[in-house]
Amino acid sequence: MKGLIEITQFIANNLFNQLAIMMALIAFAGLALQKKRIEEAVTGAVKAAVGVVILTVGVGVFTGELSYFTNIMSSAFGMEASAASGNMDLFIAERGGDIALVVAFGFLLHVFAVKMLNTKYVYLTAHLMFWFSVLVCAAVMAAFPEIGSFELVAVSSLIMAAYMTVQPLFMEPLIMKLAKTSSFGYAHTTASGTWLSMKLGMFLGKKKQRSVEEIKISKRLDFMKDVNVSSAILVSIVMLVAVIMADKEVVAQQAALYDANINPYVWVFMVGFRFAAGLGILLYGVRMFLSEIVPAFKGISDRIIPGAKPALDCPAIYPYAPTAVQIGFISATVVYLLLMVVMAAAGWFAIPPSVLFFGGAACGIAGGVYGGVKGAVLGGAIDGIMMAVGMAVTWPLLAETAPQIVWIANEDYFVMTILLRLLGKPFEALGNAGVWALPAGIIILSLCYIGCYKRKQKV
Amino acid sequence: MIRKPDGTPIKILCVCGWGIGSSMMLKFLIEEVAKSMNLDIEIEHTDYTSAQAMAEQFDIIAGQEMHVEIFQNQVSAVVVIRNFVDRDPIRQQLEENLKRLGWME
Repeated sequence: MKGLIEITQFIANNLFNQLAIMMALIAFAGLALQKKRIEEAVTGAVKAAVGVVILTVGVGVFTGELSYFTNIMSSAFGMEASAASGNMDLFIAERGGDIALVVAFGFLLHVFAVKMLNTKYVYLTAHLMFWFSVLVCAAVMAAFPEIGSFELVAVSSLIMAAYMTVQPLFMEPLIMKLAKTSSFGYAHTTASGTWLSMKLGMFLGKKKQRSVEEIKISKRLDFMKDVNVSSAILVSIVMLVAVIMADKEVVAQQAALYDANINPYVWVFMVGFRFAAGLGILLYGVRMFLSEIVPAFKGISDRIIPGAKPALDCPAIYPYAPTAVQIGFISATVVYLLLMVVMAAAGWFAIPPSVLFFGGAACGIAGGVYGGVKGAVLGGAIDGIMMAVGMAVTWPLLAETAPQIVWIANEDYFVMTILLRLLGKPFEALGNAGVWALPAGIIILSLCYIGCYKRKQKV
Repeated sequence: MIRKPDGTPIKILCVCGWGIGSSMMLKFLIEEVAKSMNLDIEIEHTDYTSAQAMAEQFDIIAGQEMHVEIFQNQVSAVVVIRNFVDRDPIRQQLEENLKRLGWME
């Protein structure tokens, strides 16, 4: 008996606890299901594991740089760095096994939900399946810190499944209007911001405005297409402003942590380069492990829901309105940076932007297709505002678990965290049992929405 | 199977901004089209920046216009994607280019 307990503990601590190993097992299972030969399944599993390790190395680099930034900003603007005891790097290391299970079960539950409820769209944006699972786990644990792995995995998988099933549905009108098709859907965590921009665009109306696509934007801004370049430049500029305004001793002390002899104004650029490097490393790792996992997920969904339409990453809509993409991005960036300065000066939280492009572009398109040029600019502005305010509000809500995730977050991350916190508040007195209120609430809301959606379809 | 004149597979690179989302979906789509056309391909996906360093190793680069226009003179053919579900435009562009290159009758 003792032997059995020891074996179970060994498996739990060494296999189920490690994100890399769990992802390798999922990849192996997926490849075996696709009837690949044993050497292909093993190679795939190893690539998944190594990809995950590379990803976590990248996360370590940019969360490290982020800590320099928050310390300088505290000094510069008297901003509460919201003494975060949590660290995303550590959270993924500690909860990695649970996160892997949430990704797998979340997707399986989603596929079955699509089949049972006949909701047409299968969520296929795999990198967000991973990051949003991290977010949901972090938000659930922040609200109910004492729960165990079983509750965490069960609760988070249900929430993920509900989200993935519902989100493409409320974006369907935009895809119809833009691409005049329902052969694909939208699967991206910018959905809530994009939906708001769509409503704003409808409100503005298009009369007497030039079509967005008639505007020409300088080609010289094209350098921003390089993710390494745009990240490094944006972060360096923001750090430079912060360093100029901060207390000289704090700056010197922070810079010395990096290199005892470096000039602080040179260090500012090193921080920018290292942020960009961390992001680059992370993307390389994500690419490697998703390549092994996604074919299996697609295979499963093709078999269980063969008629389902793919809900795709946000760039799926960019070709339909390329100028709106640029207008939205520029507008979002300008608004975000302005808000950052205002918020930091007021002593509120602010961090440099990294993923503004995707939301800005999507919101610009959504605003523009209904509301012309004004709609595109305002859509981008909505994204900028939601990002700035969202990051500030969400960081403290995740302070104990993984606050740094806000740096790569979009609107839905903030909405989901706030929603989960609100759903959980009344049940906190129940202790751990209260955590079940979260998926219960999300599922009830989802079923209500799906009901309304289906009724609209029948009309 | 249709290959390059020297007998090696046709090498295709799918590109998007960050190299983890659309480019991977595009890879799956092109794999299906290539299978239906009986093409022997080796296909990878990556981000816009990495692609600039890797371009010369590939015969065909595929992606949205804003990500592939710079590769026009670096590779044998560029396939411009406007839509991530339609196989027909991809099939058409592959056929046109492969015939132009003399790799396909």
